[in-house]
Amino acid sequence: MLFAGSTSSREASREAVNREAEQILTVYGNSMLRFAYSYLHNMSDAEDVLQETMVRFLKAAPAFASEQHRKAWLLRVVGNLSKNRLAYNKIRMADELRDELIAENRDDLSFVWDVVKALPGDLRETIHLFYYEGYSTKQIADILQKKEATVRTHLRRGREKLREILKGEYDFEDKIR
Amino acid sequence: MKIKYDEIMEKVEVSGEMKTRILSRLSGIGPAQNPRPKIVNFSARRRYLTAACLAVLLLGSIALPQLWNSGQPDPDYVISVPHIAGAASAEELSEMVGFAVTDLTNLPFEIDQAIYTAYGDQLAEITYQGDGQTATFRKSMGREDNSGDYTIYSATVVLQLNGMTVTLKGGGETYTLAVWSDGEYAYSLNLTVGLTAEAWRELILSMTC
Repeated sequence: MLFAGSTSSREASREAVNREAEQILTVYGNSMLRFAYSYLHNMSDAEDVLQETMVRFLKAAPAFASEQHRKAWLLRVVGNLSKNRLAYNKIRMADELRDELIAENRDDLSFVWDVVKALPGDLRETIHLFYYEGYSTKQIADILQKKEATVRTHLRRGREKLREILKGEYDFEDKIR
Repeated sequence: MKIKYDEIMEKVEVSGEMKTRILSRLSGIGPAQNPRPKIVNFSARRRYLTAACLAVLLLGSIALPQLWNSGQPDPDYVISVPHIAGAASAEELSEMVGFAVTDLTNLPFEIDQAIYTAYGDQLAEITYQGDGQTATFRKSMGREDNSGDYTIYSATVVLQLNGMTVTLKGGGETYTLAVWSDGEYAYSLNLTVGLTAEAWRELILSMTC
C-alpha cells in the first residue's frame, strides 16, 4: 500500500465536496443566479436553475485548468439549463426584480430592465455576459458554444436595439472595455 | 456613473436563505434511485449540447414539477446524483467501485498525498499532490471520456499505444490531459504541468504494462 490513509480520509473527501459546493455558491452564486435571471425573469426559476447547475457540477465532477474555466463551465451550464426551461416550459409571469424596482420608485432602472428583457434571447445573453460579466467576445463564444463571429453580430445587434430605445440616456457604452 | 444594468443586477443575489436551501438539498442526497447517468464525451460541441438537453429533460421530468410549486425544501425529495465517497487506499477504492484500481507510480513529481474518491460504483478517481503539482487520474466503465474536462484546448494529438488510441490535449508543445480506453474501461489523467507527447507516451506505457 503506497499511500495508506486513515478512515478519516473518507469523511475528509465528503467534507471536501461539501465545502467545494459551498465555495462555488459563495464565489460564483450571484453570477450564476443573475445569468439565469436574465433568461427567466423570476427568482423561483432562477434558483431552480442554480440548484440544478450545482447538481450537475457534483455529478460531472469536472476538472478545471483555472478558476476562469470553472466559472465559464458553470455559466455555460446555467445558460443551457435556462434555455431548455424556456423552450419546454411556460415562463412565469412573476418578475420580482421588476416589482422591486417599481416599489422603490426606480423608474430609471425598471425602464432599462424592461428594455433589456424585451431583447431576443440570443442578444440578451450576449449583452449580459459582455457588459455585466465583462467577458470578451471570445470568452462569450466559449461559454455559449457559438462562433465568435456570431457573438460579435449578436453584440452589435443588441447594442443597436438598446441605443435605439434608450437613446443614449443610459448608455451601455459607458462601461469601459 | 455605474451603468444602470449593473445596478439592476445587484438586486438579484443569492441570499443566506437561498444558499442554505440549496446546500441542504445537495447535502441531503441519498444513493441514486435511478441507474447512474452515462458519462458522455463532451469533446464535440453538438454532442455536449445534445447530452445536456437530454439530461435536463430526464432530470426535469423527475425533479422540476416538485420544485416549481414549493417554496420550502421537500425532505422526501432525493436528487439523483452519484454517491460520492472517499477511500483510504487504492485497494479500498477498488472494492467500492467494483473494479481494480491501482496507484500510479511514475508521475513526473514526488507525491506527498493521494486522495481516493469513488463516484457511485462507476468512476474511480485518485488525486495526487506534490511539488506544487496535481495529477488527477480517473478510471471508469465504458470507453468514453471521463475526465470531466470541457476545456477547449488549442492543441490535440492522437497516439497509438499498445493497440489503444490515446488523445492528448493541451496548448503549444505540451499537453495536460490524456484520455484513452482499453475497450473495457476508460481512463484519463489530468496534470497541472504539461508533458510532451513523448513523455506522455512513456508515462502511459508504464501504466499499462
